[in-house]
Amino acid sequence: MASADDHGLVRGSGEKLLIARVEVAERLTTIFAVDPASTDPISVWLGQQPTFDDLPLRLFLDLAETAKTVVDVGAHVGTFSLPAATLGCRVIAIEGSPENARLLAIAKGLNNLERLEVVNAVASDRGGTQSFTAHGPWGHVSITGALPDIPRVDVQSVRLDELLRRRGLETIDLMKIDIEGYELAALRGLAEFLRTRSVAHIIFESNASMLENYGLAPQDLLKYLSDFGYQIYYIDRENPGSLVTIDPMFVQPDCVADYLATTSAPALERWAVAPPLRLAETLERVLECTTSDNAGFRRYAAKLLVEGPTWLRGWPESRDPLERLAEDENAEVRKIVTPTVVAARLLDPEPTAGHPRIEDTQESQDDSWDEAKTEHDPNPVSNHLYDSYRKRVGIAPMVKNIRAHRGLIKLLVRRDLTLRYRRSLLGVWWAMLHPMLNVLVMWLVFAHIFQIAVTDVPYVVYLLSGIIVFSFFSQAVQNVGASLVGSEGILMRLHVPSEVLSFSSALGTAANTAILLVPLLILQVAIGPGVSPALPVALLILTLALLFAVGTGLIVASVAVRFPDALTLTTVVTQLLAFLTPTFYPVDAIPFPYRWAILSNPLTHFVRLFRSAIYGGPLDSWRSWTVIGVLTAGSLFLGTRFFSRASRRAVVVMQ
Amino acid sequence: MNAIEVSDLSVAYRVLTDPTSSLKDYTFRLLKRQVRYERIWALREVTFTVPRGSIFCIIGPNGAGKSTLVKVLGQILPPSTGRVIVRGSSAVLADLGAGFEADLTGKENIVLYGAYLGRDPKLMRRDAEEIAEWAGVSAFLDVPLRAYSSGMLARLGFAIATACEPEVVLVDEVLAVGDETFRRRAVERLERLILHGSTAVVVSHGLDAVVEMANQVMLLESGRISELGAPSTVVAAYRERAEASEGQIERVTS
Repeated sequence: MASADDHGLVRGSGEKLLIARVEVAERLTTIFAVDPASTDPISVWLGQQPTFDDLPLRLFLDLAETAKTVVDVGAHVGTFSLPAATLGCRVIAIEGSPENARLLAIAKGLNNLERLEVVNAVASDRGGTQSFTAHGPWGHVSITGALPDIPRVDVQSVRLDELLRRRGLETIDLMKIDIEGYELAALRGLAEFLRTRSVAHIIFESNASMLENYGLAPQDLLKYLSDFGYQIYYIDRENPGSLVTIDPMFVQPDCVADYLATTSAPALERWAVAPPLRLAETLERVLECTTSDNAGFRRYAAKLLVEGPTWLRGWPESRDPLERLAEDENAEVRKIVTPTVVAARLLDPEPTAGHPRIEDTQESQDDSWDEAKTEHDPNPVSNHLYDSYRKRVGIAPMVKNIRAHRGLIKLLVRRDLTLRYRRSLLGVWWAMLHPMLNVLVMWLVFAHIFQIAVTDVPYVVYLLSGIIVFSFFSQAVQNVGASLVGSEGILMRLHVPSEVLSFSSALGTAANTAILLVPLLILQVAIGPGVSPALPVALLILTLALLFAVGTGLIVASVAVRFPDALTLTTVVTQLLAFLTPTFYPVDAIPFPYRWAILSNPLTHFVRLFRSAIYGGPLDSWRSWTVIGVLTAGSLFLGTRFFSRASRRAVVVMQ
Repeated sequence: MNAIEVSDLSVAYRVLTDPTSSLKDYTFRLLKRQVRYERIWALREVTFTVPRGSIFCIIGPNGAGKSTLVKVLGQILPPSTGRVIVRGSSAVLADLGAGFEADLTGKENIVLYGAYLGRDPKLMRRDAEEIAEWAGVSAFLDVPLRAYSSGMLARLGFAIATACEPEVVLVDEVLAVGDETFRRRAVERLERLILHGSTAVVVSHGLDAVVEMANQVMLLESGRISELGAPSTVVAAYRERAEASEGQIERVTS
């Protein structure tokens, strides 16, 4: 049948066939059948050379020594299948190209390998048929949108799960997958075996440029397998014998790389697990890839250097290679790098001076790479994420926003306090003096002209405590109410959550009024009734009054977005409330038929409880506590709901 | 990884057909059932993605929705329908100086404006001098802002916004203000950000150098995408249309 030493051409039925006896991986000798007209590098090599060797093949054969069942997906002419079957394994070889499958079947006969089964099919995630393109060196599953005039054949499509189960197989000791970018579909069709981790070792190729044709990246393969609990090692071609530890976010430094996915690290004589690649090593390999003859490889490297992870970008080492890529013969490569190169030329005419080089870093691509990169990254990817689908309605997101903008709120409150009096003679002292003068006037009018008197406490203390609570409320309502309309200019131009502005104006008001607590305490000590131990309760009541005011103010603000005159109306209503609140008169002074009006005013309850706390009076009026509790919670709930909607509308409604 | 993903985005402004801004009027009209809103669609079914670290340029005639789109990306305007995802901190460079307080000093404004953009006041205080130096207002750092010229304000606003190192820069026409020197330096500063991994969305009226540098250009017309792709093809299409419409105007006037 064959000519001298089984290495030569055989003519049969009018077509040529090359029979080659080749020593594989310095281990065993196998007979291959190849098409002499074929142009793929492996067929050409097998037709001319007496030996064949490849790093992943060595690992494959080392693992095959102890394996019983082996599956070879993308078997080609049998470089993996034939030696494995020679070693005595049961081998299922799956090959999409009908031509290669035929050659493999011939070789099976020549080698007398009973335990090798050749299946002409495409491993995929579905059954039926699949269009297969025999174009290019290896052939691949057809890519949608590719040139229509490339010859294609329809090939049977199988799910590996189904194919293996039909043969009664439950566990696979070793699998090799090399199908030019279609790996993920094949693995999806193997999901049942992977889920139970019934495939012990998988050696697979990841060809980034072919994967991209199917809209995938190497990380997609790594992630898919590691999600099933597989540990993945990068087969390092630079250091034969080392299996580099990686995580699924591993940045594949070369366009085509081989990996071992395994359920347990193999204990092999010639293979050792190596530490993760250093960042400098990674960049070095990417840069090497930029000098490849293959435009796809250069394209992959260019994309990594321009769009890849931040820690890989902007190093002085990349400067010259990028400049070269900007002059690349391939237009796509040029297009990827040109903006970066132009920008770099403008910014750093002297890139060598003073820049840290990646060489000097010791960080690796390992689990802690997130930290490693932030150290060198001038601008790491923050965890900011804006997704318009996430609804932000109600009180919880508002509280979160307010917390996140603490710094801004502090500045705005300080601005409110200082700006008002900045150009005046007394400066900030006005903040204290101004309300004090107000109180003085009221005291003169009511105590001396109207001769109003109260029992238990000096009138001025009574008056001041009432005024503090009332102005806490009324000013906060006014200011919060105006905050949305008043800051339109900012809301239309800057991304600031509107509740932050409203809250800061409430705090500013509160601070302004809280200054009055100082003279109140001084008066209490000076003219009685002394400082009460319930002072913290008084502060709690003030806080509740402020929250009630914020809630009410938010409702006003929401209405004012649509109707600015709501603000004027609020002024009138507050004026009315000022008279309905017992600030400057005792409740007893009101004739009984009208007292209900005073008691139904919620502020009366705030004022009463506050005074009780200040003078050390009774604090067990459950009716008052319930009223202020319910009102505070209710107004906050309604206010925040209305406000969420209104602040969205504030910017889209044109008056 | 995409820095920006926009799918099927539409934005409507609501305009009262009969503006009533007083509550009293409104109540009367409500009783007579006369209140009507009209929706004006500024953007219709806009879909695109912007990869991280690239320059995306939006061109189109006045009223095409360019500024609206920038505001939606900058989280200032909410989308009416559709979805917007922006990964990373973003800053809108439009109407520079919104948020400036005329009575506060330059330094105080640097801190405040930075805080509006989400930056720590402590960091802004540290960087204030550097920012002022870039903006050429070092001598005025302790002077209230009302004493600044409009050019100084624009430079200061730009310097603060870019000093925050946003990961997504949304630039709307700020390059059009100021003199040639400012423009050149502003473009340089933007390029530095992009070189450091930021993504840029730039609105441009003029078909200038920024358009040439972009990775993708989008032509917006009446709120819809009419071209999206490489700069040369989109710019050619835009020119063609502009010439065609000019031709029409000539025919009408003659």
